[in-house]
Amino acid sequence: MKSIALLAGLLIVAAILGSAAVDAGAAASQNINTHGATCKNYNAAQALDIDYLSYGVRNVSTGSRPVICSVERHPVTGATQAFYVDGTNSAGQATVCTLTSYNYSGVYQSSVSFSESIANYDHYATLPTIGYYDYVSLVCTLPPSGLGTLRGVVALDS
Amino acid sequence: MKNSRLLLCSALAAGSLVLVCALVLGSRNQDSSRPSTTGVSVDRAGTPAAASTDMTRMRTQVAVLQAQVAGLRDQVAAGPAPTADQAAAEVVVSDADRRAEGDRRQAAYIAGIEAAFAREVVDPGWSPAISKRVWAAIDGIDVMRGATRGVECRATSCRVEVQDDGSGALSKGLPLFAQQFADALPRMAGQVVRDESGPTGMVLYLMGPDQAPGPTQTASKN
Repeated sequence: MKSIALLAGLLIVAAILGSAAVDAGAAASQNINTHGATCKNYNAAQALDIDYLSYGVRNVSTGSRPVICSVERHPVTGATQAFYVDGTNSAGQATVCTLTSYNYSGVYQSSVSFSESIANYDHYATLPTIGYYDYVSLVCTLPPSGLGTLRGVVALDS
Repeated sequence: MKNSRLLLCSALAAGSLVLVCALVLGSRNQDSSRPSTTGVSVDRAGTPAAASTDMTRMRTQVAVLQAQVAGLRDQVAAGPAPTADQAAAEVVVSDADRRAEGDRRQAAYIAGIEAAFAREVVDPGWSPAISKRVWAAIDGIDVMRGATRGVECRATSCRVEVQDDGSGALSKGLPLFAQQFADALPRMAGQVVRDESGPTGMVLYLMGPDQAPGPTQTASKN
């Protein structure tokens, strides 16, 4: 009898405290992953050069092509924001990317660029400055002939 | 919102009450049935001090719970929740503050870059070579070639003045321009130049790699 009563009481309190803990954990991590297949051709005439996969986006033309990706993010209060850009390159190929932020009225704020030539990259980049309501885009120039795939971008909470 | 909060608090209070009751019951049963290694149980040994301590503790817990319930009653009686208009007004004020703060922060950031650039002394071993490279990149992008009014590189950074006709062409060219310096000047920040007629151009600052801590010291993907 005593065990059942004790267990019941503990279960109720544990459930309440546990649900609160789950909520707190969800609020603490608000990173957002954006899939590479949401990226689009940067130049209007190159739409047919861009190919989409279940694991990203690639360029199937014989020349390098840029794609642009919307980078979803939570409005964050920090002065900067960090991102991870993930993708692959075949041997001897390179992918060059630029993250750019514009404010709510369309004024350029800052950008950060990088070049990756390793086979599987998981590149960390930080925008020099960003505002709470800024919009962020990612422009990546992909190697030709499907020799590089952009998997996606992660906006880190800050 | 208020109802859910009341519900949660009530559930917490109820759960705590159940726990207290369970502890009381468990304590009593335990005290009466616990075999004693010394051959003397607490009750049998007639040690009322320990039982009294338990009861005092439980009475305190009940009093705390009663105070919590009373507090909830007071909250409910405090009056109606804010109207939708009142809530919206608060959000608008908050948005305006955040936007103003963002504008101030960007202006301060650019002012800091300008001041740092002004302090730089021209490095004859770096400036001519990187200036040549910047001009080469400008020449390779149509919109930049037509819009650039000047390039000045000193010791670690470059200042580029560009004209903006407002067509969007400059914005279109900026990411591809920035990519040309991904290795040496990967960071870029800009400030709009205005006159009486409105925005006329931008001043861009090309800067070296960030010296801030790397990913192992900062935010995690997980």
